[in-house]
Amino acid sequence: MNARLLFNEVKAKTDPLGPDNILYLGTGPLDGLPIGMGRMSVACKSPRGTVAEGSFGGFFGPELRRAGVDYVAIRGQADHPVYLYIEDGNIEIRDARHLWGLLTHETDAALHRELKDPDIQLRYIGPAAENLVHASPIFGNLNNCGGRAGCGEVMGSKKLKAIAVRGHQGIRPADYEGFIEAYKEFRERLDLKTSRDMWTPVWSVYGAPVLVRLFAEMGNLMMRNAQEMQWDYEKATVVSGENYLNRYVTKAKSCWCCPWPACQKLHEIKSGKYEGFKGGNYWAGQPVAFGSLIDNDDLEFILVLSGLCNQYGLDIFHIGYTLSWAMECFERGLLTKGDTDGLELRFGCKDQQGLIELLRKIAMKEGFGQLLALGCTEASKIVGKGSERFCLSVKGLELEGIAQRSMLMVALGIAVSEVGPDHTRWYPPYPCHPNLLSEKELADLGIDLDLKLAFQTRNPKEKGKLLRWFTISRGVVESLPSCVFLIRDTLGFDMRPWWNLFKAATGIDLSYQDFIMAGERLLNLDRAFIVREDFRRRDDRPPIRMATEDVPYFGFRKLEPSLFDPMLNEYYEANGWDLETSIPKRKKLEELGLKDVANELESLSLDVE
Amino acid sequence: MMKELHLRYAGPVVPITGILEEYCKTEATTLRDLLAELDGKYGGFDEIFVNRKTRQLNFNAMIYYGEPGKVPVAVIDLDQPVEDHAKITFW
Repeated sequence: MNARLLFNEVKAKTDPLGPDNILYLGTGPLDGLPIGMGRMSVACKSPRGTVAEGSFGGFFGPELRRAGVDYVAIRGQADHPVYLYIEDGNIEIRDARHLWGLLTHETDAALHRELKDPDIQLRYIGPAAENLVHASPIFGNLNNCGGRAGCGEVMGSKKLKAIAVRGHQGIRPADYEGFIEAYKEFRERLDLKTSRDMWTPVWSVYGAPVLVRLFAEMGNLMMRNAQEMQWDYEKATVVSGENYLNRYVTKAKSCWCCPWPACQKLHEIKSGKYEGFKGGNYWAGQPVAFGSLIDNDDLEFILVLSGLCNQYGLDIFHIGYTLSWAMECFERGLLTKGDTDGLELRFGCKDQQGLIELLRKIAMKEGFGQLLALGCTEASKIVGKGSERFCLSVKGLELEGIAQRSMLMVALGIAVSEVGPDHTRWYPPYPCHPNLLSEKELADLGIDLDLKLAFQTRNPKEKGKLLRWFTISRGVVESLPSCVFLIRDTLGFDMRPWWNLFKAATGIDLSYQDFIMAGERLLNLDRAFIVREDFRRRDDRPPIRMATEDVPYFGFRKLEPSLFDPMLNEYYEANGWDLETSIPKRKKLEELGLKDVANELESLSLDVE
Repeated sequence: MMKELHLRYAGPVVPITGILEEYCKTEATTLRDLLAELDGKYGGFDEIFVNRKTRQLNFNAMIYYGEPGKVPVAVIDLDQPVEDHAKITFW
C-alpha cells in the first residue's frame, strides 16, 4: 500500500521537505491480531529523493486499527508545531508548541501526562528531526524507532511533533476457525524443536547483539571506519549481547502479543561515571556504530551514545558512520581542531565528554555539529580533499551494521536497495545449511535457485536470484505486516503459513502465486519511484572503500566491477529490468498489473520497452 | 593424538556452559566426537547441535571452525576432522 500510494500521490520531483510530500503510517491485514503481528510501516519521499520506508515494532499499529484507522496520510505543513490526536475514528490536530524542543522521552512523558491515559500509543520526533537533521527517524515507546531514511525529518518539516492514538474496538479475523488452524501451523515454525531457523533460540533470549562475537569471528565487524575488519575478539566480547545481558539488563520487553520471550531489553548503568543512565534496545547496530567503527570497547559509553541518539531523535547509523568518517578525516589531517570546535576527534574515543557534547551539537545543528548533521555524504562534499573515499554510504544514506565484502549477497542488497542501505528489505543470509530446503521443496514453491551455490557467501553466482527472492518474500512479510523474526524458519522461502493466516484474517481467497506477487509488485513500484527521481544503475554501487580495498586478513576481495557487475546483471535480469538503466520493463510491469506505472514512466520519456 | 583446542561459546550455548570460552585437551578426531565429549561435561550440549533423527547438524545451530592462520568457516559436516590448535565457536 505504501509503495502504491507513494508512487501515485507523490509526483516526480516533489520537494521532500515541502508541503506536497506525504507521510504515510500504514497498518496491514494481520495487524492487531493477537499473534505477535504488531508492526506498522512508515513511508514518504526521502530528503535524498529515494523511497523512505521503514517499520516499527511496539504497540502503535494495533492501537491504530483498534481506533478504526488503517492508514494515516499526512500532507501539507502546519504554520506552528502540532500533534495529531486519533481516538476511535475521530481525528484532531492539536497545538504542540509546548512540546516542540522536548527530547523524545520528555515528549512521551508530557503527552501521557496531558492525555491522562497510560495506554495511549504515541509516535513522535526529537529535536534532531525538528531541526531537519539528516536521516532522523520517528520514535515511539521510548526506544523504538523506524524510518531511518528520513521519515522523522519529513515529519519535522510538517511541524508535526507527535501522533497519539487510542482505540477501543475489537479486531476479528474473517474466518475465525480457519485462523486458529493457520495459527497452529504458524506456531510450529517457532518451536525450538521443529524450527529450521538458527536464530530462533538465539533471538528469543538475547536479541541481535548476540551477533557481535560471531561477527568478530567472521570478519564482519567494520573497524575504524572499515579501514580494518579484525576487531579484537576480546573487545567484541566486552560489547557483546552476552555481557550486556549479564551486566546491564533490568527488564525484557516484547512487542504486541509476541509469542516469543522478549527480544528487546531495558537496561540501566548501575555504577561509575554514567550511574543511573537508563535506556533500551541495545541491538546489533549499536556495537558497530558506537563500538568497532570508532574503536570504542567501553560498553557503557556505547549505551550512553545510543541512548542519547534515542533521546535527541537521531539515527544511530548516521551518527556512527559520520563520526567514524570525521575521525578518519581528522587522523589524516583533512579536518583539524580548528574545524571540530577544538575536539581531538580520534578513534578510540578518549574524550567521551567531547563526543557527548558533539552529539548534542549535531541534533541542535550548532558549531561543528552543523557539518555532521548533514550526514557523511554531504559533509564529504563540503570538506572535499578526497574525503568522499572514506564516506561509507549508498544513495546518500550511511551503511548499517552488516559488512559487505564478506557476504556478497549483502553487498548487492545494500547497493541496490531503493531506500539506501537497509538490511530489513531482505534477509541477511548468514551461512545457512545448503540443504535447508530440498530440491523438491524448492520446486513445489516455484523457486528456481541453486541453494548450495546461493549460500556460498563469497561466490558471486546465484546472488542476484537469491536477493530477488529474499526481497520479494520480505516485501510480503512487511505488507502483512509480520515481525521478520517470526518468519525466518525457512528464510522466507516457504510463505504458505503466512498465506493461510492472510486468507483466514481477510476472507480473501488469493492464490499463493498472487500472494507472493504482492512482494514483487512492491519492489517494482519502489524501483519505478526512484528511477522517476533519476536514480539509475550508476547509483546501485557499493561505497568507494568497499569497491577499491581488499581485506587481506580474511581474504575478502574488494567489490570491483569484475566481481560486482555480474551479480548486478543477474539481479536486474531476474527482475526483468533493463541492464543498462535498471528501469523496470513494460512487460514485467504489465505482468504485475502495473500498466499505469509503465505508462507514467513512458510519459516522462523513460524507456520501458 | 592429544590436541589442544580453543573453544568459544556464544548465544544459547552460554547458559549451558556458564563460560564464554575455554582451552581444552582432547583426543576427539571429529567434531562429532568432540560434541559427545562436551555433552559429558555440559549436559544437553549434544542435543543443541545434533539432530536426533538425522544425526546431522541441527538447522537451528551453527559451528564455526577455524584452523590456525585460516578464516573460520561454517561447518556443514559433523564428521569433519578436528586439527590441533583449532579455534571452534559453538552458536
